[in-house]
Amino acid sequence: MVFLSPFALLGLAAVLVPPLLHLFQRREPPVIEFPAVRYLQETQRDARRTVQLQHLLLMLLRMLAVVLVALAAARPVVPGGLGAHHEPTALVLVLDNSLSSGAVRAGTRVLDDLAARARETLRAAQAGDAVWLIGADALARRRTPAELLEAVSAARPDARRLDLDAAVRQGARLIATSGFARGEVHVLSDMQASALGGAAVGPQPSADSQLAGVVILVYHPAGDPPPNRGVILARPTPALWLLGGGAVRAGVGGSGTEPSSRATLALTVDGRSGARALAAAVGEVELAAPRLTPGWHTGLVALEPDELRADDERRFAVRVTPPPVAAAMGENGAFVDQALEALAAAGRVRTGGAVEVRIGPAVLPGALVVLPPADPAALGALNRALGASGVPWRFGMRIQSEDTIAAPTVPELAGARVRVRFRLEPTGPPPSGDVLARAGGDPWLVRAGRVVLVGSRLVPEETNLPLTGAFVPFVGALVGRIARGEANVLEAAPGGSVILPPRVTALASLDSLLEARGGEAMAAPAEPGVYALRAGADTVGMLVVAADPRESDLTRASDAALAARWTRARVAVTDQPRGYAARRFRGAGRSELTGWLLLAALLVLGAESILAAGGLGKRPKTTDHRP
Amino acid sequence: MALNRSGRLDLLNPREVASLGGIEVVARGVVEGFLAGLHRSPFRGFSVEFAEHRPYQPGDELRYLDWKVLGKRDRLYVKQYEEETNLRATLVLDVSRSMGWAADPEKTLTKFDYAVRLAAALALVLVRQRDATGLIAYDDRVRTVVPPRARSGQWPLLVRELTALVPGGLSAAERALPRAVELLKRRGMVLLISDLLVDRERSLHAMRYLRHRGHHVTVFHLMDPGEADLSGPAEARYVDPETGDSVVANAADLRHAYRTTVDGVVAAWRRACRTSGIGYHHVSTGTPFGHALRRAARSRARAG
Repeated sequence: MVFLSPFALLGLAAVLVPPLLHLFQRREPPVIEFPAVRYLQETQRDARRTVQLQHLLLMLLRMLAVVLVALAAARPVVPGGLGAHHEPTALVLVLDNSLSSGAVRAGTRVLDDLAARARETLRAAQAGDAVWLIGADALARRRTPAELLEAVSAARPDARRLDLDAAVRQGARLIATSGFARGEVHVLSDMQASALGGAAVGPQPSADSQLAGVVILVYHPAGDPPPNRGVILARPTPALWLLGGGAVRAGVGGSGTEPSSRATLALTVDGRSGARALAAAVGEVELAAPRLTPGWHTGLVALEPDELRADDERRFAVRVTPPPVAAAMGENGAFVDQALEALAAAGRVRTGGAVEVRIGPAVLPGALVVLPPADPAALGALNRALGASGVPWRFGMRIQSEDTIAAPTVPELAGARVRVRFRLEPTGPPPSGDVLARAGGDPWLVRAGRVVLVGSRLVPEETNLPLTGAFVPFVGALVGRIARGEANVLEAAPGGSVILPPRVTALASLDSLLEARGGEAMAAPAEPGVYALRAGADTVGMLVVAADPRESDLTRASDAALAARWTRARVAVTDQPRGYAARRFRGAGRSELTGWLLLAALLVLGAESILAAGGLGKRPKTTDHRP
Repeated sequence: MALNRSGRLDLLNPREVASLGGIEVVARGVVEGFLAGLHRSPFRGFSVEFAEHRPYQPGDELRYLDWKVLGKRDRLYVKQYEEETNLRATLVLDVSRSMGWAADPEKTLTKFDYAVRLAAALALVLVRQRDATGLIAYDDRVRTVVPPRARSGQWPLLVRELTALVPGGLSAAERALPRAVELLKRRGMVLLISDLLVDRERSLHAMRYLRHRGHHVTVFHLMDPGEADLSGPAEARYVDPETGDSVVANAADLRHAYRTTVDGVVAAWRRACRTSGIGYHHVSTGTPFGHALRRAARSRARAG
């Protein structure tokens, strides 16, 4: 039994009114002159016990009447009953089987609870209803209730994230176009705050007129969500590892955990254990990887298991390459040469063999790091050579200005300053994604294919970089990572859109091969994991499909936030299965006891009146006093 | 006041009848109506020993008309006999304080007012029959004594005495009735009019004593309708105006039980009186006077 107006139960306190009135309103009764007092005394002697019983019964009846009225005001309902029939209804069931629905609370998986509610509703659906089911894949399926029952029973937690706001609006549109006079959207979800669409939780009333008047019935499990901690980041750093290893930046997120608690993160690459580290409840750590051979490698960062297992590990992919064979060309200044020597001494750059990367003010085939020439007169020839090589950038005018370099993707440049620079200008439409660093707002470090242009010579007269400790690592990054290109690792959420690099023909996992077309957008696989981007037989990159980090945050949206989200709809939120059952199909599936209780109260009051008026004594026969 | 079709005051509501005038007027009107409805005199038995003539009164049996007198003098006279002329009736009237009560004075007479008018009517009937009629009024003591006389001025005397009475103190029939015995030297009829809110056994003892002395005793047990059926607010303190005894009661709670008690009291009086050869009439003050008179007449006739 549930109460539609539970606050009315406070009226039960009124049950104390009759006895309190009886106790505190006793007063000296009015005096009536009555000669036949002796008859009254005799009557009272005979009827004392009966009268006392009558008074007790009257009190109980009055208290019972108060209880019945208070209960009636609270509008109790029970599921089922005689009134279970409902008008034909367009029903959209939004079953949130997103990744977070796999969380276990009090021994029950959230999805099992939600699916049970969905099955109840589907069983209550009638032949005249139109029923759609929307799951984490955001596809609305219209089937018969029997077919949808099977689909619900087969539902499993899905790594895809369900945008509840979008699903509800989709449901509202379906109802609007269904032709049914009645429609309801049932949202069966753990009601993650993040599932309502970005930062939109809060007072952002939708202007969508299709929501106007739509009945939205929200059910979420009772109680607070369980505390959860998940791996929300696992990214190799740098993206391209040289022989000797690298590190993986791992992030921990979640909700409900103690801020001071620590989580143990463990790195595994190709099945080999790597570093372990303690991370804060919400924070990032860097895990050192074991030495790896050149080639593609996959690994994962794992947490200790908790109530939501699906986010306790996160996969990544990394390419390991040998140190590049780098060589300087032209007039670079002593600092570049010395940096290359230091890198060679450290094994980060090789000096023998075929040159892979060249650095200097010249354009040659292969990977290049092009620096401005020392002689400005040579700049024109250099720009022409760049143009001839198809590089869409050129060196522009020389600028003398003290600027700080801004390079979010090149950490080695942090805090570096330039005094003299050539403005790097695109020769055509500005290519996106090529600018790696800027100085004074102008591009300072750009990449086009395997050619990298640097806006200043790497000498102290033009930048302070050679005089800092970051210079050698920067040169190493230039020749080892930046010039040779990134690892070509794509990241996507399950089912999310991803644009594949050119030449890709297929996505390959351990047990499947999915045909793909390079250069086009496609939906990432729904199953988290690492997929090889194949170009024929070659692996040209990796696609890492990992759950949306927001799924780890199980913080529930408040009822007020839900109502504010869909202000134009009629939103009812409940965490009680009976409450949900009582409200679905506009309450047709419930039996409200209010009428019965009022009738009972009326009967009780009637009995009270009869008892008060007539008493328990037998009505005497009419006596004829004639002789 | 709207009279009934026959205009007989004996059949009208006593409260309405009483509003017509004083005791005398009311008694006359009631008796006129009462006698008009009878075929014979009410309290009269006839024997063979002729005593005197008296003018014919409506209600006298025609067989006792003296046809010779009618033939000679063209006047209607009836013959009276020794037995009847010796009838001595005494009206014993309870004027205790409880008699001065009416539950709804707007609708009913107090028991005292009813008793006074009933007594006056009874006296008039008796006096018209040349019966010696007296009066004893009492409460806790004998208040008024009018010895039985058959003279013509007896009824006005009785009326004056009745008019002068007011309800007084405690009721004590057991004291008044022996006094009546002292006054009634010869066998006669005693008509006791009381609400009988007295000690039953002691009062019955006195009545039995009268009966034992050869008197025909008839009791008119007056009861206000408000005494027969309890009514009142949800809770009230009921106080006996005579004794000051009080009891807190809820009328609704006790209504039916109270009625049972009253019925039991009436039945007990009736049973006790019958056992003792005493005539008993329960009379509600809402009952027309004629009904009470008729019961008394019937009782008298049965007594012979």
